[in-house]
Formats: sequence, structure tokens, C-alpha cells
Amino acid sequence: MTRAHRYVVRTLLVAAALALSAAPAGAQQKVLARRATTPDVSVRLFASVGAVRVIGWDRDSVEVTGVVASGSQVGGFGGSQPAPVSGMKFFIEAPTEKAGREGWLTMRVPRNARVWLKTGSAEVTVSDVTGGLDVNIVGGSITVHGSPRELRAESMDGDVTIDGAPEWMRVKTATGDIRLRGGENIGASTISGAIDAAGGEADHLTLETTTGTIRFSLALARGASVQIETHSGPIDVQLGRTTDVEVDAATVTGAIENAWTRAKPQPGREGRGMTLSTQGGISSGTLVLRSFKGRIALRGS
Amino acid sequence: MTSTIDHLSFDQLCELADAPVTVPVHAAWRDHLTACSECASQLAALASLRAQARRLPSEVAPPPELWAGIRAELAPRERAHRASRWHTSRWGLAAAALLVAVSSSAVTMVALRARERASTTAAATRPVAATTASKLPAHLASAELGYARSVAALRHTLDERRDSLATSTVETVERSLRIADAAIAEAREALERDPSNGVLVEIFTSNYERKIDLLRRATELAPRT
Repeated sequence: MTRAHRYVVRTLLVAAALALSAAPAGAQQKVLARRATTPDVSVRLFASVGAVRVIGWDRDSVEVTGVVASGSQVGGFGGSQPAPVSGMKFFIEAPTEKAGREGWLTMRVPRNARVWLKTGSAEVTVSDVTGGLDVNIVGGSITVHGSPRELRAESMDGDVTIDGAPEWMRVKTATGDIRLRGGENIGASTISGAIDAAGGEADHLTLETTTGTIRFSLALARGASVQIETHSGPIDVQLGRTTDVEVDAATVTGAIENAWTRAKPQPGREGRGMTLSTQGGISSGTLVLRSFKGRIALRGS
Repeated sequence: MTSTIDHLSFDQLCELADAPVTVPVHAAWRDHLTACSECASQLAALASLRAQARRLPSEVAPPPELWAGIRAELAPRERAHRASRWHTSRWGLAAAALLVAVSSSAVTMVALRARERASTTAAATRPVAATTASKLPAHLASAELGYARSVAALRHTLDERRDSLATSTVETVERSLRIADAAIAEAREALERDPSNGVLVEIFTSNYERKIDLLRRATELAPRT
């Protein structure tokens, strides 16, 4: 038996003994499971716990450790084949809604893994995952450090913070706030949460709210396309004084204030609302701002 | 944790339908299936649906007449407004969102048909278009009717799942839906007065899309969350 085989067998034994029958330890029970995987393994985790950490590491294996509410059902983990798996599912189902907010879980995955995570009201933190990431929560929060290639994060009232610049990202909340630092193809949408886009660079970006505030102060990539829309939330845009961008702003009834250039906002259709248009250079980006009755303010930096 | 009375949730049934036979799944779920013909038949329906879905083409082009209609509507506006790039993508997105929402709702409703029960709140959020004579231009009224159908289907599914969700979650969703409804009503009223306002059309359709997306996401929440 080779060393690799011994490792696989050992991890399988650990997984079988601890993950599938996680024994109670007082009011909570421990979880420990490991599994050899491919570098781009797809991992699906459904976890009713209070906190989940997902960490990308330089090993071709997945490890789950933690403490969960007593009586939780623990299962899954990639079957019983000894070879490294390319896909696996793992779930922790708490006996009650309250118990589902207890305990914590840390899952280490290959950096290039694709991770799907669904939980209730957990504090979810993800770091150093460069593959795909799909996180779905109701409450709690989602914080992502690093730049996954693809990132989808959805919550109801949980806040979402993306501290990186993914190639592709879609973030949606109902009332939760969204903080992001830009990226290549980015979309963020919320009903009443606030969106704060700052500290990075935007390429193709769309931000939308119904009533939430939108603050935008990202740098613009060459030829960037930024679209910002709200029904009634205020839009605050901060641009560099020399930023080469073509601005097209319009409201139905809201005001437009321009402290970025000398261009004067004009009255809108039939005297209602306002518009503002500025010209850019040959390779300028475009910034489209739309609001029903929220105020649009442009400032220079 | 699952008894024959509680039934398996839609998520659990999907999990079972997705799992290869070699993958161990929750033993209690399997036990429940052996004792509950209702859940067993729904799992069979889901498995059949999954098999049928696998045979579908990976891409479905919209009917040519849909795009022809959209282009015809957009053409004069493109000449009149510099914002046409945004507007074009909006209509494309609106059509796509509608298609996805209707398809998704239909699949979910088929799977859960056996558990249908009276909806107590659907009437409270019935779309404006269904209750009042539309004063919008024909193309917008038609679009709104499509949105309204999607909203009704998703709302029905959400009402069915309401008891399985946490009270605080239901409150958050309902509060957000009220905000979305108020915004839609406000944009709609303005659009009736100024039906050729391109900015208004964008905001009106965006408000509907966000509401439909919120409903879709609410229907996909796990039980007890």
C-alpha cells in the first residue's frame, strides 16, 4: 500500500467515524472529516450553524471541523470510493431553528475549488478561494476576502462584504447592506440595503436599489461601463477630477447636483426631474445614472 | 428528525433527486420515503423532471417575433435618447427574467402540486394590472401582464412554504415586497401620465425585476431559515 493510499484510507475512516455519526459531547457535538479531492473539486455544504469559515488551502483535500448543536444530523461527504473525488456534498441539519444558530464550522478546500454554501443566519467568512463561490444566507453576514473567479452571494437581511475583485460577481440582498471593491463584471442589487462601492476599480458594473443609498467611488478602468439605478435612494458618485468618462444622468423627479465638473444639470421632460450629460474622450468609459426620485450627486476627488 | 407527518421539504427532495446512488444521504430521509407514498411520488416526479431536463437543449432562443417587437419598440427611442444602451439591455433582461421566472415557477409548481392549499395572502399582493384597467401603452401593459403572472406563480409557491420559514424571515420578505410594490405603483402611475419616458420605463421594469427576483429567492430558502 502506497503512502497515498494509506492517506486516503485514513481519511475515509475519519470521515466515516466522525462525520457520519458525530458523537454528542455535552450540549454540542464535534465534527471532523477529511477527504482527498481533485484540485477543482465541487463542494456543496448545507450547514445550520452560527458561523462558517471557508478557507482555501494548497492541498488537494477537503477538511471540515467544528462544533455543532447536539442532535444535529451530519452527513454526506463524497461517498466511499478511495480515489480523490471531484464532487462532494456535506450537510449539517440542526434539530430546531434556534439550534441552527449555534456552533461553528471551518471548511478547508483546495484554492481552486467550486464551493456552494447555503445556511440560515450564519456569519460566513470566506478567504483565499480562487475558484467559484456561491453563498446563500438569510441573516447573519457574508464576508469574502480574496478574489474568486466567480462569486454569487445572496442574502435577505444579512450584510455582504466583498473584499476583493472577482472576475464575475453577482450580489443580491433584500435589506442587507452591500460593500464591494469592484472587479471585472460586477452586479449588485438590493431592495432597501445600501451599496457602497469603494477602494478598487470598476470595469463593467451595475448597481441597483429600490430605496437604498448607493455610494460609488471606484476608479474606472479604460472603457469602463458603469450603470447605477435606484427608485428613491440617493446616489452619491465620487470621481477623479481627470477621470475620462461620459456621464449620462437622468431623474424623473429627483434633483441632480454636479460638483465634479462645471456642467449644469438641465430640467427634465416637461420640467420635471433633471438630466446631466458630459462628454468623454475617444477611449472614455460611460457612467449611466438613473433615479426616479432619489437625488443624484457627483463630486470630484 | 423527519416524520411521516412532517414530509420532506422541497430542498430535501431535490437533494435526494440529485444524489447519485453511490452517495450516502440522510438515512432518516430514506426511511421517510419508504413510509410516505406522497413524498416518494414527488421524488419520482422530480427524478423524471431531472431526466427530462437533461434532454433539453442547453440554449433556447426566444421566439423571433418577441425580439422583432422589442426592436420595433426600441428603435424610435434609441434615436431620441442617448440612454439607449442601458434601455436595450433592460428589455433584454426583462424578457430573459420573465422567461426564467415563468419556467422556474412552472417547474416548482408541478413538483409541489400535491401540496397545494388555499393561499391566504395572494389576493393582498395581486398585481395592479390584474385589478385595474391598464392605462399603459399596449407593449408595456403586455409586459406587465407577464410580470404579474410570474409574481402570482412565485407568490403562490412562497405562500405554500410560508409555514416552513422562520417568522423573522417572512417579515423581512414581506417588508421588502411592500417596498417593491410601492415603488412599482409609483413608477406605474408616473408612466401612465408620461408613457414615452424612457427613464421611467427602465425604472418600472427594474422595480418589477427586483421584486420577482426577491420572490424567487424567497421560494428557494431552506426550511427553518
